[in-house]
Amino acid sequence: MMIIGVVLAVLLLFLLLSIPVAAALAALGLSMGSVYSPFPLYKALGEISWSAGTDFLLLAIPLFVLLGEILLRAGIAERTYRALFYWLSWLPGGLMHANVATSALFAATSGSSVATAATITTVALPQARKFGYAESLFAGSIAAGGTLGILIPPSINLIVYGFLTNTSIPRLFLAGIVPGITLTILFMIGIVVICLINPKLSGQKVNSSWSQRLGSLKDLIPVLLIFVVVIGSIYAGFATPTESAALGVLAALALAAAHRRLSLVMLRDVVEGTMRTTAMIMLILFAAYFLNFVLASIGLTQMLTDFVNNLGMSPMATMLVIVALYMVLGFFIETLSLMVITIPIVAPVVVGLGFDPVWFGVLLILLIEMALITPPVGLNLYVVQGIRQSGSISEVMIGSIPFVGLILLMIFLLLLYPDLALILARYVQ
Amino acid sequence: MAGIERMGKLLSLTEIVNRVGVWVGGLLMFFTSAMIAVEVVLRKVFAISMGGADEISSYVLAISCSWAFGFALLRKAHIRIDIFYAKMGQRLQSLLDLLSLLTFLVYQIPLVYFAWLVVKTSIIRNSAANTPLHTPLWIPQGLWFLGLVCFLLTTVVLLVSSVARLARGDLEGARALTGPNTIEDEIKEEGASLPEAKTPSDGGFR
Amino acid sequence: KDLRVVGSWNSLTMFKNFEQPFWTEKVPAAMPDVTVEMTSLGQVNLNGPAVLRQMDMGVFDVVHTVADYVVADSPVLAGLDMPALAPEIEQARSVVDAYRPVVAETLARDFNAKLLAIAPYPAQVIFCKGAVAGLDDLKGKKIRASGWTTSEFVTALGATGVTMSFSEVPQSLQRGVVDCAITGSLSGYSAGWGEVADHIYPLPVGGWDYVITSMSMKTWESFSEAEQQQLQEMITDELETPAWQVTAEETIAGVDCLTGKQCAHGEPNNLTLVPISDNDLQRAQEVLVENVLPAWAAKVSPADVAQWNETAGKQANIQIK
Ligand code: NA
Ligand code: NA
Repeated sequence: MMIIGVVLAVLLLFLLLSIPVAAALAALGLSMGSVYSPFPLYKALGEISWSAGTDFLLLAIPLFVLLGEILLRAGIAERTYRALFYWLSWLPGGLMHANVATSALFAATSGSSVATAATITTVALPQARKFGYAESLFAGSIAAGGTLGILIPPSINLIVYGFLTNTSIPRLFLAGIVPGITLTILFMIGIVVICLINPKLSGQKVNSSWSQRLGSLKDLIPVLLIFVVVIGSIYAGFATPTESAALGVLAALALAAAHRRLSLVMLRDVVEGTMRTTAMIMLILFAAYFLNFVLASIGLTQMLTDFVNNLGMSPMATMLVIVALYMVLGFFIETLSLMVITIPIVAPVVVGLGFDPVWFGVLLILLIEMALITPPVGLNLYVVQGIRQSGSISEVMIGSIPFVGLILLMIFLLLLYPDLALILARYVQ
Repeated sequence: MAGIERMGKLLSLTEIVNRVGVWVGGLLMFFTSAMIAVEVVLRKVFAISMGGADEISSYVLAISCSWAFGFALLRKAHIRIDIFYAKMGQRLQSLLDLLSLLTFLVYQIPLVYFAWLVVKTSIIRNSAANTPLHTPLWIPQGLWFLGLVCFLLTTVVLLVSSVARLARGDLEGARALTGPNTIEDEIKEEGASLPEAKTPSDGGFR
Repeated sequence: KDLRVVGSWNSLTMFKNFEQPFWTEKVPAAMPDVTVEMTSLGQVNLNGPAVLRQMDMGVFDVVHTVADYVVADSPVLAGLDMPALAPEIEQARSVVDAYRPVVAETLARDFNAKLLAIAPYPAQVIFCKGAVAGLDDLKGKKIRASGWTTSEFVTALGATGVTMSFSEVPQSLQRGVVDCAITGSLSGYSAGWGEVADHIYPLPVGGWDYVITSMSMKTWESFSEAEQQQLQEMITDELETPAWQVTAEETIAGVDCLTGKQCAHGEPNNLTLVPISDNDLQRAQEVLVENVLPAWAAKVSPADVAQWNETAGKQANIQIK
């Protein structure tokens, strides 16, 4: 147990000193390896980085980032938003449903919830002001909607989970669909209920005509097309997840060309944005990979599993502790870092308790979604606020509270009914 | 004064090298997507395989990533957790910025050294992948290694420039090089060329 | 003395029943001053020859790895495990015994490692979705094959070699991304291939997938001569020999489980067992002699080829011209 304490303390120190997460993980691995192992574990750094760096599965990450960047810069998110607005504006809470639904649809294609939230805020906020919405709940709905993307496939976070735990990506993708759609619906029901209770939160009613609605249908085609290409090709047996990402990239390029948005400048921005995000994610992954090698080598992973087993708590009680732990950590730690640091240690414990790794992957993603919109460290809150550039961040935080509650509700549903995640996944294998 | 000028030149050279690295990496990504797509279609429709599309793509992944690390550093994209940092005074923040780069060096120096051993072993053994392509491994590994070297040099350049600016008392200038990414920076990066981002107008609503 | 041992795949019998008990129980019991830390290939996540390269650098003392993974650094090792070279396990054993000095010499030269044992995984056979009656029916099929010699073999039969990760196989078979895939009979059964494939063709087209046990030469030399002898005897008697026996049993047990016979590992599947005709055996040998072996000979030195002819080739009645 000493070792666990030391590792945690050193990691915490590194992170508090605001050392870049990738460097902190690697330095932790290097130092723990030389202190606690008689073997020169650091010498494996080169081969491990090459082995992880050439993993075909991981290629899906840059390709999905690339796909998302192309779609965003081709203006496809705005068109989707407008179309969904026409269709959903009659509901109490009008525009906010468009926020959530666009996020859900768009997030299902792009990998990044930040980029999604940024785009939707840019398009939606002027409308909110024009129609007199309460900005707090409105901003909350964008921040929360932006988190849907990491649960509805394709999801870079699910790929990271699958990579670190050796879980089948196609099964994880399938497992995310029902909870993702359920959560989207929960968000929309939540908005309706809140706006029925307090109609002031909703803006003035806008009635769209059927001609507007039907005319906007064509704007929904691109997103659906990408979804069909990416997810369809996996389950129709054309392609593995990485291959489906490649098909998606080509389809997105074709869409951008069809919308006459392809240009050298646009492509340069796409490439630079993609490689910047990719490098950030991959360096953290590689460093985490080396750290895991060290932690497993010095026996820490095994120690923790034994420790939990010796506690003698029931699996469900342990799971509740784990959920609580993630909620607390999620307040403070950036989500990707949270995932790579904890998954290799927690997943073996959870699987050892008899839980399904696919199910736990989905549960974990829900916890990560919550972390994205809880202060003080909640990326989506800051993105929305950053684009608002007026009012205070606390408005966004308050507006997000109902959605945090709904994610929590979803987590409990998943704990009670594991089949929500597993029912589709069962069809594979 | 000549020193400042030379430093500036070094910085812009670093920027250029990294950007070119990223462009080439990005082009390779597009090329990879196309190659994989062709492979998928050939396999499904004609039941033939070019063979090795996945192998080549995985080399592309390693190489384009290693060449993008430095670019991400220049764009301050490597995540730092700044809860504590944000509450510090400017001097302490500058110190933490330097510490960040130094910790990166603690990672990079062994990484580059042992990556070199990977390449060296492959050259000595004349290693070839156990696949139908028989790729001589030193080629992809060498390109990957060079990217890591570029990452290391970028860190060193940033560190030296930042120390030089600090020595002149230019705290703001040093922070511009090595401070953390603020959310405003991030949005600027994400949204700089989003089509309608610059004109948050009506967005086409009637 | 603290030994850091990397076992092979920790979900398979070879690891669970032999490597792990051997290193963590038998060795410490017999040699009281030795302690062991055991891990496995899946846990260290080092691809290809990297794990042996790392042993050379002192990160590990003992490594169990599959010969096929090391071929990238030492092409000579591919000579151990040619496709369909030894259809029966007795033949496989005699080929291995004949070729053993070559393997030992290669490991010592390339990785500064002492060869301790060579033991096979169950025969690497073909699982197909869709009917096949023999080798010629593989023509035009997409076959998941790992290793270039196996790819060369199926290509010569007119099939397409496809590479993909082991975990993708069941879904890919089900959806027709590949028509056939190659792995050990029992591991294919355990991974659920039996639920998606419908035919099994038991010719070891993927060879036997030999697990090579080796020790860093530095560690080996730190033992006294008496200890070396004791260790080598223990490995041969308590690890290598029983592993061969169990593999012989598992090759059959796997096929039984897949084809609806008595199954001790779970519910049996109902695959059709395709008989190997004499014609097919002859055809396999032709492909080996005319396509695969010449390709291999081009990658190694003439001395290596001569050595192969003397040893493995002699046992299998095949010569490279
Ligand atoms: Na998504
Ligand atoms: Na948070």
